[in-house]
Amino acid sequence: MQPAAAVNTEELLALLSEITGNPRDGIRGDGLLTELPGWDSLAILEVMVRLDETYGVMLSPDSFEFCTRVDELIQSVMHEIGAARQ
Amino acid sequence: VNRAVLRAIEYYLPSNCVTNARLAETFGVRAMDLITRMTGVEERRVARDEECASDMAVEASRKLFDSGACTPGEIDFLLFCTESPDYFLPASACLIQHRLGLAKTTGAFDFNLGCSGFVYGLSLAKGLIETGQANRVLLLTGDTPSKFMDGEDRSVRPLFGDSATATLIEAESGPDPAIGPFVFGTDGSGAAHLCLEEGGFRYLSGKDEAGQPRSICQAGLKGRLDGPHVFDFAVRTVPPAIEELLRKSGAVAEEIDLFVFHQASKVILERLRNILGIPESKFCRDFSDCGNTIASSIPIALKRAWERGRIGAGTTALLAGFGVGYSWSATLVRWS
Repeated sequence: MQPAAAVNTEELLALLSEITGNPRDGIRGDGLLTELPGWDSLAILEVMVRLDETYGVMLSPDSFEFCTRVDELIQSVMHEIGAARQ
Repeated sequence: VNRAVLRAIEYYLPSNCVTNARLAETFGVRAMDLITRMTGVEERRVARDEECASDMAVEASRKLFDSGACTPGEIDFLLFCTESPDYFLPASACLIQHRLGLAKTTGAFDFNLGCSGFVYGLSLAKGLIETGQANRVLLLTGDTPSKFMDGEDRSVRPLFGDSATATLIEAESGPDPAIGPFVFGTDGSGAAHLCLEEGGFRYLSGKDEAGQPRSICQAGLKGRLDGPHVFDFAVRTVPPAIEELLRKSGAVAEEIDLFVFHQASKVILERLRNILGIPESKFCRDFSDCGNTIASSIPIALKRAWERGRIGAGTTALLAGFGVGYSWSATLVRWS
């Protein structure tokens, strides 16, 4: 297995924007995921697949369920990817 | 030679006992006298409102383990015969596997039969053991007729009682069969004489004025699928199961001509193919015109592969099913 590639917040926000169909500047860090249009289980699945393909990290669905805000999700994903790179 | 032997049996009866005297309050003393003479039943046990057949089967199983017959970790197959499953899906056997703490390598499924079911279960257990697919089979039976038989029918309600059993069938060396032979019989023309129509799919929404089934679409069912969790389950579970199958069979992946997995979804199939390093030419993906057809997806994909010449003499196919339960399975099929 290749070590996970590095990731930054901007890339993750761009990914969220692409998958949910919201403009990048319409996604606020303190915004609630439940209020983010297009954020549903299908979007979560697509994020999981894209992170796996791009960064070689398979996140547990639970990682998403514990996050209520966009910035919490970003932090969680970066943490997981960081851990996988160790 | 491995033979299947019936090693131990335990059973569970709910604590709530309903006597004939109590039923006489509903049906009358004279009627109950007649019923008692006809049925020979003096009292019966009735499960609590929230107590299901699977709950009772778990209790019976715990008694079996407590008796020292075997440990939960030694069970490698669970069969649950019931006409009162917790849900349409998943199989109650999967719920019981988890509650009993049986290994995740345990095979488990329900089968729907009534009074003939235990003998059928013995046959299944014997087949599993004597073909080397299992060493210790936990055969469970359980039903709550108090919840589904007509409570106002004096010919029905006094007769039935709720219960569950747990039987251990295990492998033992020996020259002669310890279970069997078997005789089986089926006559579906008698189906209407012992029947529960409501709750199943044909009359899920009841009947219209003409006695015809109302549209099932009117039932407002809301089956759930949590895509991320199912995806996570599939990609974490199927690859090791296939590695285990190859190890057991002594085959190597290169010898497999065709991989036919449950046609779950594009992302799951693609991820599994990547993880396992299966070449596109050996991978079966054939569901775009019919969707995920659940248990039918593997045989449909196989049939189509056969028709297209991807299967012929000498072909070895690896089949893998996975999904609701969670439950998974894999095997090799060879064409000669």
